Amino acid sequence: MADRPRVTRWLAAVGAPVVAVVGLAVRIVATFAEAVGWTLGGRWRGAPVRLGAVAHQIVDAGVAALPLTALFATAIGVVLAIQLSRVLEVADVLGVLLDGLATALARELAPILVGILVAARTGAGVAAALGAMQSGREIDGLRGMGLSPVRLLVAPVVAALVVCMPILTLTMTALVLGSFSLYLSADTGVPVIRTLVAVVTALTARDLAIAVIKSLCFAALIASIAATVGLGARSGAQAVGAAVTRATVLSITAVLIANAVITYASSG
Amino acid sequence: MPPPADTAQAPILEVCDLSVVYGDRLVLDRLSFTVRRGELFVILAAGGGGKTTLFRHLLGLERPTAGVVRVMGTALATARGQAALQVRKAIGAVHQAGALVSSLSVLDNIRLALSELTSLDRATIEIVARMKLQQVGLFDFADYHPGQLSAGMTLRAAIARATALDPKLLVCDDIFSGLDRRSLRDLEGLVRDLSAAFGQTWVILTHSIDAGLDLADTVAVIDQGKIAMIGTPDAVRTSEQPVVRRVLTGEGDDAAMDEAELLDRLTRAG
Repeated sequence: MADRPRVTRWLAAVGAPVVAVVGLAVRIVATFAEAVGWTLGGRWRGAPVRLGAVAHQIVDAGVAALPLTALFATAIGVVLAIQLSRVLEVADVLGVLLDGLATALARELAPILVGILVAARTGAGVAAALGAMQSGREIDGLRGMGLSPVRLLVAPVVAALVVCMPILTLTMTALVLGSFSLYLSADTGVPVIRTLVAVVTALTARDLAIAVIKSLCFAALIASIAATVGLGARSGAQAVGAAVTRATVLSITAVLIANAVITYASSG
Repeated sequence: MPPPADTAQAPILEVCDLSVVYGDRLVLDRLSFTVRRGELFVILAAGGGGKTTLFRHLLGLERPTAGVVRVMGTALATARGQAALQVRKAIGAVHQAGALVSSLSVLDNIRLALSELTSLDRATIEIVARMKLQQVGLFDFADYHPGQLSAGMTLRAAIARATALDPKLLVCDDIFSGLDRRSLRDLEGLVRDLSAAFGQTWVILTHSIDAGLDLADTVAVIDQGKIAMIGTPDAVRTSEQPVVRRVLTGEGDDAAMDEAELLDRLTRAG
């Protein structure tokens, strides 16, 4: 009996965060399900997701992210070439190296890098916009008119990221391999065409399929987390800032965990 | 027996034993009142007196702890499907500070309501939207964004959006706070004119005593989450009930008073 209050306190201390995390996870899943429901069934319900809004988000999250993706890819390709050229100086293992590089890049590095880029860029932006709208009661204004904020504001982001992230991931893969080949050629004299052919032949359809599957999962996670956290923001500029930070950290964490799970599941 | 449907005799709004509890705090305590069609019904409550909570429940944005709110016979908080959507279209909501979509122009805010909730073609939407702006005196500000407008103009734009679908019931949350005297007078005049011209039912939640009493056909006074009195503005003005006097004199108003209202009261006291 004497231990009971201590046990109760311990349970409360452990239970409260667990309940909060589970509650957030349920809300994230519910937001995603509602967004998908509106996207697939909105027209049937007489309230379709506007294609114009999806197109706007594709430009914002995809087309506008291409320069940054190219910069990331070039920098990483060059860095990889610098490091790996040292290995080639001591052993002629170019074929093995490129084989490993192509697989690791397509399956792991490119999806993760694009996931982090999109979480930090688009996810943070979505959380900020929705958080500010929630704080300014604009979301209440829409609900008061009988309009679903998820249909108007979240579903277009989910649809746009689902379209854009696989493209960005494949673009990232191609650009990293391109910049890698160019630098390696300039540094070691290995013909660019030889490196590129070796890389392309090393890539399998399974590598690309895993890259696309990962990027689709990351798109769903980033859009749902950013939207849920943004719509749940409290009033005030500080709360909106906190929502942006939370959405970004949660999205990147979710991307890394999901990546590990998919890699494990696909490794058999 | 289901409640009566949308008939001329039935009240447009019924609040029955509405109670709302947040945590261990009783915000609204068994509120009951009805609003007749065409009535200008003002709910007076002190700052922090549960106005916004009541507003959200009148719109069906939250489920009450107990009791029910019916609009045209439909309990909005639990209604689903097309029936709920039809009732929602019959309600216009004017939120405190407007709650317009800040990334859209004033005209686009009105267009949004019309394009999402009606099947009107684009040209008709354009005409209706500009007509609504004309009604509230903002025709020349169609391309302005909410952030570029004064508080009074923002609220007029919000009224234009709320009336875009010609609703039968307009519910307004604290629209008279934070306005300078001229804007307050203009907004009162606008509400009076629209109410007289279109015969819509207005429910206005406010802590602005004078504006509320000037406008109302019927006044409900809420103190500490309970209805203290329902009556005509004259009956409320002359009431000797201590709780009504407390609301009318602003005692127990635990919200920070806005500058305009503070200046107003200081001037009168002088």
